[in-house]
Amino acid sequence: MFSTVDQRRLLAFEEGAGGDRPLDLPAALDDAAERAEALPTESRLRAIARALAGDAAGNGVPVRVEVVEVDFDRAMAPHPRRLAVVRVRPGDGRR
Amino acid sequence: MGGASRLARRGAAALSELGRRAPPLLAAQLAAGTLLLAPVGLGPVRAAVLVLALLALLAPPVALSPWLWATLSGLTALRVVFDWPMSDNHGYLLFIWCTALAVSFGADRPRPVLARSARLLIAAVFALATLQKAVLSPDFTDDTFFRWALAEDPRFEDLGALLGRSPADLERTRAWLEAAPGPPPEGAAFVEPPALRRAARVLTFATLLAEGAVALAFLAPRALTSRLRDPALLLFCGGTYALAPVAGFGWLLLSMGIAQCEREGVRWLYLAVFGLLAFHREVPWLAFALPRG
Repeated sequence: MFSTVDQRRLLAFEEGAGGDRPLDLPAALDDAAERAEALPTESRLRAIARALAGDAAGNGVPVRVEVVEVDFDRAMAPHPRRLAVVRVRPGDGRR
Repeated sequence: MGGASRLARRGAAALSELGRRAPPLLAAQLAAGTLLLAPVGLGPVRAAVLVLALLALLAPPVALSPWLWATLSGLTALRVVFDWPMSDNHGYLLFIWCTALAVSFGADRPRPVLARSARLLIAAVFALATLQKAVLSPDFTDDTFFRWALAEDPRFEDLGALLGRSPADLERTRAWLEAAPGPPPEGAAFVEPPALRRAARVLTFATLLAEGAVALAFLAPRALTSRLRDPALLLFCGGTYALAPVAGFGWLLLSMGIAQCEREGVRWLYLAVFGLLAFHREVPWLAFALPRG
């Protein structure tokens, strides 16, 4: 039943020396991203970050994945709130 | 004209005849109809649900089998597991209702067990919905939710247009709402005509009132409110789902409602509202009221 504003976004960035660079999520991660938005556990975010860090390994920079929830005030101005964040360095979790 | 009125009379007679069936059978067949019209799951789960629901609809003895509903309970539970954590509230309620049908049809006296299960489930659903909206969601009580939903939810597009938000303004509004956490693009703005602002207020209050009334009618002792239960639930389903066509959830509530309905003369109304929800789902009736061109 209708009750609360439900606006969440999963965002991914490469954390380079020059600042954050937003990463596009490949279509293969759409389902994982939707599930992570609904329930942003560390393991879900880490799996997505690892997949992206694998793709971006050549750049040798960490990847950050976060889920943001957007609240609106009475003027309908948006107020993003970070629900969860995970950082992965290239090579993290590999044996 | 004469043909139309004859058809209407025949339809009313058929509904009245159907309404004389026992509540457990009607509840099971409405649940089966819900599964057929709003199928759940993917692949083999979906196929098995459809076959079993069709059997239940066509063969009354099958519809009253605890084994059929136990199997459907397992399948609808599998759907929730495979979708985890994406299932909406309907998914969980559908599983619980299939389980209630299985348990009731396995009992010595299915009718009172099913009626009591239905009454308690409806009471719990509406009491929790009212608690969530009135107490736990400040963005519902201050109208933010409906102001957002009237722009973002495509099911409210016709209502928004009818109350003065043009397609161009809707596009600017969605650009504004969807930009966060980034900056809004050029031209984005929250455009809300006064009639739409008032509609958000009215919908907020009407929803709280309607859901609270159903919760009270089903929670209060039978002697006090039993005659109010059916009208409260039927008005809620007929009204809410005319504007927000979430037919699958409405049908599920009607299946529970008819299971606890003690008055034979009222049962056909559940069948009529079930049909009305199908009409609202398939026919964008609000769009007919929009100015052409």
